[in-house]
Amino acid sequence: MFNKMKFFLLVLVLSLQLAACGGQPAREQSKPNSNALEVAEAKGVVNIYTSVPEDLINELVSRFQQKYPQLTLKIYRAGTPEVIAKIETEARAGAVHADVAWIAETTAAEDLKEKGLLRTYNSPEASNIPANLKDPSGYYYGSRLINMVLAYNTKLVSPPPTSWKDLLSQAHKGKIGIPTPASSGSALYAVGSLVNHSDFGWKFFEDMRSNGGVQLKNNSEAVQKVATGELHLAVALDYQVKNLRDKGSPIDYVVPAEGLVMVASPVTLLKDSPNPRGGEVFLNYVISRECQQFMAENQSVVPVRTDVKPPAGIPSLSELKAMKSDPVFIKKNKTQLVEQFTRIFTN
Amino acid sequence: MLRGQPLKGLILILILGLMAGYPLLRLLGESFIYDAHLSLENYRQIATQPANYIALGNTLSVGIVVTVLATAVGTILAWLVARTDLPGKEWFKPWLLLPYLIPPFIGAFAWTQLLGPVGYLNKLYQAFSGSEEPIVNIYGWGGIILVLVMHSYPLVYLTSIGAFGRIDTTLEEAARVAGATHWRVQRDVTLPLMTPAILNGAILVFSYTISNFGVPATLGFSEGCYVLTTWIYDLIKNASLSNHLALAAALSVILGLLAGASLLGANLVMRGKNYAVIIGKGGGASTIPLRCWRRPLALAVALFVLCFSLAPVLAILLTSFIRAYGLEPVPDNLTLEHYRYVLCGMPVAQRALFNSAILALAGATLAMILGGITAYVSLKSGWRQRSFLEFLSSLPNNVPGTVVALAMIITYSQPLPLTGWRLYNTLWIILLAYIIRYLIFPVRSTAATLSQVAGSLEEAARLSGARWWQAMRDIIVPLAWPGLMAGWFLVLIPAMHELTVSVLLWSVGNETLGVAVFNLQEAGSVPATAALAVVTIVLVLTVYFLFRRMAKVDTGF
Repeated sequence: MFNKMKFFLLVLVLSLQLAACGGQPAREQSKPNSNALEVAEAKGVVNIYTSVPEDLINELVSRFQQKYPQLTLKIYRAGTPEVIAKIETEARAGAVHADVAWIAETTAAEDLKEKGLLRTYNSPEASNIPANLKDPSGYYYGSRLINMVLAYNTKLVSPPPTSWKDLLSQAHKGKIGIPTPASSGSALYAVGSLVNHSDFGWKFFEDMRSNGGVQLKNNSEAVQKVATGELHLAVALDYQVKNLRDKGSPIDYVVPAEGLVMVASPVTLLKDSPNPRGGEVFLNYVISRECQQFMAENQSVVPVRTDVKPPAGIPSLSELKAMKSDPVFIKKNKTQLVEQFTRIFTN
Repeated sequence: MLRGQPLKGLILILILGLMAGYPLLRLLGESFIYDAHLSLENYRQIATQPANYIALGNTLSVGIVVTVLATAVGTILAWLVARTDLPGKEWFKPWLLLPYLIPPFIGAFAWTQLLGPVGYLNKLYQAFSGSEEPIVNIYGWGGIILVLVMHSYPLVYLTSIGAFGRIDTTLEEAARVAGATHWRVQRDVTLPLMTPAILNGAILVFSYTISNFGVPATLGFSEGCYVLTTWIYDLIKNASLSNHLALAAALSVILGLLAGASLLGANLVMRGKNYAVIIGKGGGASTIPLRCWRRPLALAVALFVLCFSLAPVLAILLTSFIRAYGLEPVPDNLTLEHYRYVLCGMPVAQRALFNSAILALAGATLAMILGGITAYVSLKSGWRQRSFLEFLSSLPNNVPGTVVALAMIITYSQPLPLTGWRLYNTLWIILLAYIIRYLIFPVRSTAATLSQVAGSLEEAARLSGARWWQAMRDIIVPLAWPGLMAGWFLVLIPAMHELTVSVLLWSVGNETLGVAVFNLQEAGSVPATAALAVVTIVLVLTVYFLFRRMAKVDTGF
């Protein structure tokens, strides 16, 4: 009876998957890959710890797997602070499982570097990345530029907002949101930049809270809530807004008059990781022309490579009006920024 | 003959102590360590942070309000079903237990589809009234309470319905003969008799509520409504403070004490009560005629089932078919694509299904074996050993899952001594956590079966020359089998959809079903989350009903 039951349950679970997956088309034949030496010897499982949103990372994983069938990517996806906490806990345990950390902003990479958890790597793909977007000693490479902008619901908000201060407008009371820096690296950058700006400071966030502003777990939640009309306005990532807009959702964004907050998302390799060669192959793939082009064309992500054109409809880097962000200030005050924000938005 | 028993008991105490007691001791120790020194600094930091008081206050207020409401709902429903001539009550029974079988965090997610600012009810209201404002908002304190009440009232319902059936009818009859009306008898005789059972259920609800993580995590965040479990979770997941684990440990100690205090309080309250009036087998209790209230009450119960048990499930079912979140639920917008995606296009979900199946089967089997042995040994032991065994096997269940998970992280993030094995970041750590957390279920169910079995059968076998293992195989195990099976099942079901512990212990490749749903909901598409949630519910319900049919054992509900 007992064994029958166990057997039965296993069959149930497996048949559930089989039943639903039966009609899947056969995998595309993998193309022969570039024959760099390390690619040849890289195989096995590569653990990627990343804050890149679910849909984008899944898309990249399946493209990567087609190109490198000898490697299997496993993804730990969470907000940047959580990814860092996970890696630090692993490091304390004496065994870092992550081969690659691909996170939202550079101060988190600097933290890992300072704690001696990263290793340097001289990527053959790096020559087309401007010097200000990579670490001089090769600890991390910028992989994409993500911009924090003001997203709005096109059905409910007219005319479109123009300034970050629209978040304080009575017309949107109780319908505004911002991702929390406690779980989002790009939000940390946005909050840090606004706090450090003479026109905003903490007063701005206190007023936003009084205007019914709510904290959101991450950027994906921000765009979903604006798209469904649950919120009128939210601080959000430009490319996520653009993706939803292109799918027909009533959402768009503006670059506020004071400027957007530009965040360079770094990709790094962990020291003493289980699959160093595999990690290198993935890092090179992320900053390769192919991947950057794909992210720009299909996901509207601003590329870091000078030889890849930015996505259509997004002004070039020189034309973008960006607010001044001070990584030194953000890194130094990280704990205080998170605590103060949480204090304001949880009362 | 029994000379070997104390030794067996000691060995078992050692094993359980290592598995269950030691990690919690490590957690306690960690909370007193600051900067590698013994210190009260962590507690001082906690005491000076206003946010901690808010989280504690929310935990208490949610706990108390949910307990009061769920106890009222559970008792009234149990009374209607057990004691009155409510029409269709046999039909109501399974539906009243439905929320019990649905994981609460999935319940919370389901309620957002119904009562969220863009949920179906608000959409409907806005369409009819022309208003742009939603009429209800499930997020925040009120929503957490609503969902927790719905998922916890069955605890009171189950304990009360059993007691209603076992009540000593002679007292009621005496009151009737003395001329009291039905209502007076229920109020003055039955209710006082029922108080211990109801209180028992209420305590279960309280500790269930303050331990719950999934519901406040889903509904409390955007409104800034934290409770201790979610607050501890955030602390563990945030490395910006160097002593974040120690702070989380200190808060866990407070949460654990709160849960312990409620159990202790229950014991104190129960001590004064006289159980004797609830006899083993009652039966034949009179059925109270509802008279003109029959139909209205039946309608009310039906509406309750429809609105509170079924509607949220139907809401996620609908959402799981919608092409893109936010579109109107009209035929053109419906698709099966999300099911294909979660079952085939999402490696995490496939791994999670497989992992959870393995964890549930292995966890249930191992907990059953260990729990069976514990029950057997403690039955043969003196009271001192027995209470030790009872304490150790119930401890990890009595403290909230968040606390157990943190204890596991603290204990097993270092390689094990001698062997050098690392449990952290493997499936083993989750399996171990499940075993200690659910160990008490098979211990109780096996002890209940074994205590009804005369020890003389075993002795007879041994006297006739059977070896101990022969006696075990031929006498004890077959006799204990129903209890073992019930224990196995009582572990299997919660282990299939566990979230609170695994959300803190999962790692790449070692995701559980609960974690997959939770993560997808946090950062993925809503319809895909709904699809995976529906898959989870279907799986749990199928296993539940199949097991009931195949095993025909009384599982207690």
